[in-house]
Amino acid sequence: MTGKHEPRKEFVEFLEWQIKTNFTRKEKFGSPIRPAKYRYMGIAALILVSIFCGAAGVVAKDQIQESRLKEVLILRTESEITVTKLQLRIVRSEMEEIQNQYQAGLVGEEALSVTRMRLQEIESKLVCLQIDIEEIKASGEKPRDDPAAPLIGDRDFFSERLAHRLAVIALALKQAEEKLDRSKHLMEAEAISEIEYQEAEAAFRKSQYAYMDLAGQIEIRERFLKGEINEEEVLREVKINTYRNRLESLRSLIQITRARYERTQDLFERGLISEVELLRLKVKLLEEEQEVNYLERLIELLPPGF
Amino acid sequence: MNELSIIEIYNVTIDKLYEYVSRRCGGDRGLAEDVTQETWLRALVNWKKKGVPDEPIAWLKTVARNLLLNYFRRVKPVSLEQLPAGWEPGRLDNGFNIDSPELALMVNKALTLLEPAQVRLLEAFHFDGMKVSEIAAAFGISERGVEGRLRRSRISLRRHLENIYKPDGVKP
Repeated sequence: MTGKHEPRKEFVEFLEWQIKTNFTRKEKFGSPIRPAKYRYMGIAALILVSIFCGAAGVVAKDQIQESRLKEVLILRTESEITVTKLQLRIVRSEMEEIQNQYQAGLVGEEALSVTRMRLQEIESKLVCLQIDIEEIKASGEKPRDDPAAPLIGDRDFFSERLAHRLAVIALALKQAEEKLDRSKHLMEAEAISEIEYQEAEAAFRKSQYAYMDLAGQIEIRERFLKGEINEEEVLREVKINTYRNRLESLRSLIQITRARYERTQDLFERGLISEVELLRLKVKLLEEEQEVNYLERLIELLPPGF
Repeated sequence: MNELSIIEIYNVTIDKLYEYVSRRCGGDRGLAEDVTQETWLRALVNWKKKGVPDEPIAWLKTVARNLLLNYFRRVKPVSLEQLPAGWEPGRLDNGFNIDSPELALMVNKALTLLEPAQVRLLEAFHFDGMKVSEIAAAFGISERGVEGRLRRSRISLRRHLENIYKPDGVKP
């Protein structure tokens, strides 16, 4: 029998296996690319071997390779699940602590919301990883995370994952909306500055467009499954959807940054802040404007109908 | 760094590392396994980038210790009813032996509130099993000095515990 402070045999073997598989992955995916001439020599050798062994040998080799790939993908995802479970345990402890502090009046509602959000994110990540494993087992391939992913059997793995991600974003949006509401009251009561209110507004807009981006992907997915658009069109529409949401998000951010810049300029002219602070904001504004220009041009380049 | 050398290090250190972690958490097998596993996962990432340290076991113990401290800092204290019958913080004044997960949680929670030098001293004596003479040599102080500091550190530990455990129940 194992002593109180001795590790269980199964645990020691499991951890050793995890360490070994970590190296197997490294060997499989982390090896440097060979020079072209050796690659071609390798291909030539493979052709010769194929001729000698016959096509059946090649097929068998492919099957072994596929089975190995499936095994490696499952191992990698299982390792990620192990780490995520540990992260979840830590965040759950943090959540308990924050709840106690909140009940004792030591922290505000915001600290509670932030931790609740992190908890929801990790829980969702864990569920998505478990869906990944089921997809790898069913397809034997890396999970496909785009709206043009095929159904496997009757299951729509992509939409299952998307639904979990959407729930997380919806919570973030709800929290950002509540914070914006609180900030508005506080600003009206002159408890916070206009800049702090604008920051809350910027965070809300960002969450809003992130939500719209995912909701757009769901719509595209539905049209793909109904046969209204093909795979190529799906990929283009996803790109457009992302560009447009990013563009709208940036446009609203720019308005806020501009307002902040004007206010900061006023403070600078009155000698209340340094020039460096003003310049920092100017750089941020320029960066946002450049990205808006870039996205506008990208959208202009799209073929008609998009 | 190759697989063989890592597996060799693993085989040589796993029992020592697990024992170190398990003693720190009063034999809580679930926690000890999680922390040991996380320590090794971090070792793999770090050693790949920076190479294997000269004293792998010291590196592993340091990481495990920090993981445990972070864990105990966050976790909620247990209630006095969950501790062995008749146990009270004053018992720490004459030394302590952590033999249950609940006691481990309570003592470790209080350790996170002490000065780092006091924690090192108590850990060396009570968790690592070092003798007073060995600690004196390691810390560069006299044996009497070690004894005095150990006594004062245990009193500080007891006071922190008394603050955590008020007569009307567990303080959040």
